[in-house]
Amino acid sequence: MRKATLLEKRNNMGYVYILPWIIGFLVFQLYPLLTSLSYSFTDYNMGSDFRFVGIENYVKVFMRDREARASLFTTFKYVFMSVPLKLISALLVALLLNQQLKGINFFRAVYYMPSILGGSVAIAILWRQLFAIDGTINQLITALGFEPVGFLTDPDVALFTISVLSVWQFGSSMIFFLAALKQVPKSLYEAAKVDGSGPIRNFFTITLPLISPMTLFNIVMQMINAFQEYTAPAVITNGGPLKSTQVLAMTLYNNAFSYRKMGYASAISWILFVVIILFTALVFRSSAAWAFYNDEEG
Amino acid sequence: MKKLLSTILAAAMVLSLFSVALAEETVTLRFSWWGGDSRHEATLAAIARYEELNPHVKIEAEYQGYDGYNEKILTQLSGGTQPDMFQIIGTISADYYASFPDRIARLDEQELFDLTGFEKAFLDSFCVSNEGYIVSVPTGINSYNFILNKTVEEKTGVEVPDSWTWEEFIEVGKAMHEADPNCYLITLSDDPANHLLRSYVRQMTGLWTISEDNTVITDRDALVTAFTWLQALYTEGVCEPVESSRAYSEITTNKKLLNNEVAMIYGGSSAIANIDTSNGMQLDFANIPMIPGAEKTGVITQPAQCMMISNNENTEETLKFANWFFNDPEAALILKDSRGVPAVDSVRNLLAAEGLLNPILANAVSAALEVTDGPVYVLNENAEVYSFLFPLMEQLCYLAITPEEAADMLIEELPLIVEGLV
Repeated sequence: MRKATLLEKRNNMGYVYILPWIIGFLVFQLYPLLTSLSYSFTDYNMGSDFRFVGIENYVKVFMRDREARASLFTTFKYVFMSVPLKLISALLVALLLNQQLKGINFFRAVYYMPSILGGSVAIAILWRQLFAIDGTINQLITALGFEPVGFLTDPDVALFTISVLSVWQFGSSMIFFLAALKQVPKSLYEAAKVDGSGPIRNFFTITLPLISPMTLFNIVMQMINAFQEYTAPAVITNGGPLKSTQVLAMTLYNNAFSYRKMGYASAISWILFVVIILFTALVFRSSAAWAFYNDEEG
Repeated sequence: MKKLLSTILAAAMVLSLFSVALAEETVTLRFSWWGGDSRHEATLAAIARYEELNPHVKIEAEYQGYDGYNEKILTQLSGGTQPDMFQIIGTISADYYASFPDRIARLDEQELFDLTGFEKAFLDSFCVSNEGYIVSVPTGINSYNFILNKTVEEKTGVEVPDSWTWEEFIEVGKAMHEADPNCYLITLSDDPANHLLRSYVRQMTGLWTISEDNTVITDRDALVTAFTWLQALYTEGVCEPVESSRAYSEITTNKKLLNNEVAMIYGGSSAIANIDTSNGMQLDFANIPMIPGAEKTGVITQPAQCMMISNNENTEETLKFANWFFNDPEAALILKDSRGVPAVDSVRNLLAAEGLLNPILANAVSAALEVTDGPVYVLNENAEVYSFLFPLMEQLCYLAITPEEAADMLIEELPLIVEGLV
């Protein structure tokens, strides 16, 4: 029996099948990633001459650039405000939609719709119109006899308004929660009912633990997205008022494309990357205490 | 049958060779600019006419609003994919050429694009590289005045005078707001506030915020006076509250302005063309306040924008197009004042003779040129300098900082930014 050729061996044939993806990954992801890392140690300003500056860019972010530090802090505020709100909303709606009622699929589609529309520029502009001092929301408020609220012009409120746009797009998280809810065996609820357990106790002792893997997934995915948020604060408030909505992604963009400090902007992007990695690792580490998998004992 | 087939195939091959040859003769140019609808329409009409006159030239128009335009051009320059001809802001020519010398054509080393009609002073101030090459041309002359909505004057019965002091400005504003609490003399944002205050400081001290020797102003008293004046506009009801004015990224789209409840905006006079006057707005211009006897007027005139030409295989054809675009009378009659008062003498005179220059724009520029303080030093318009000054203005507008704190911050921190730029 002759030996199989290099290409005929199953493993190697597999690589051939995924070659287009490999090429795309190398050219459009790995190469820019490594280039960005190398730029972060230089003073590259999109011109022809630049020099190696070591870790000066990284030191500047933490020690000399007040705007960068403030925007990092604003990003943390945004993440820890929007992600919990979004997931709580997603879970509550998923619980409501986890019922066998006529027309329930229609409601599932309707609640998913904002996720399809996404946080695009068009939606951000719409949001700005809705929450402007003379926008639709304030017109309703003044019609009820109250003073208009500076949703986008009050530095204490603007970040929350931006967060609400993110919360509005809870659809994808809701779908994941819904899928997880459907996996919870009904027999558990029936057994709990026999023991006299009510719906609220069931939620905390049966539902939450059994959907915890999906909760972990949603937390990680939403947190990663939230750390990288740019469109909403850039379009709706341009980082204001008084830089209260200037997230790190905006500082990165300004340094890269307005000030042409591509080297410094690359350093900011890698700092953001490390922050995301750290927080993701933290969440995974903590999940040992609260995420339960079916194949685990106890 | 076989013979017929081969004959047809041979003929098709020959024809395709011809079409390739023809296609090779057609030159496609890319032309990029920003602006409002009126500028887009005029420029597209000019492009269409040029293509009629030059059938072998196809011009792809790449136009948009101002937001994000500079970042796009910068990225394209960085990647070598910039258009053949592209509009840039009036103060960045030297900067772009310094960063991308191989990608930008030197206009003083060619003869296809006649530059003799441009004012030499403008070319020398705004369009030269650090080495002295001409690397761009001004598209029009812009002046910084107030654009005045006379409808609000009629509504409130309060007139804006031809000349006034900074104190009188506040008195007129108070009177206007008292006459109609919905009306304000002016609406501002960080950008126009910065521009207006630097003129005020210039009148007080003879200095711009950043001087030509790259030093930052240190006259604390002058800065405190200017910042106090700015905050008085809000506390005295002269300026539209920041809570409502902040909503508009483009000041010409401000609702109160369009609803005839704000009398003035401050900015480049070429913005007159971008204002929607369909709601009965009657436009005029007003002069900035003046300190009696001030040595420097602080009245700024500079190019509205400049135009650069790429150094590539299409440069020759682009220069011919640019020559027609800027110098040809037919082009002038199509473009009119879509980029402000034209920078070429003959074109300006032609439009004036034909009555095609917006009279308000023409008068605003003329009035400014009579007392012009020339252009502001280019570093004052650097993006990173703006990133410091604009938030500072916003803090002042929000009354979140005292004039003294703002002055100290500017004196202490702006030099560090300037140091990193020079």
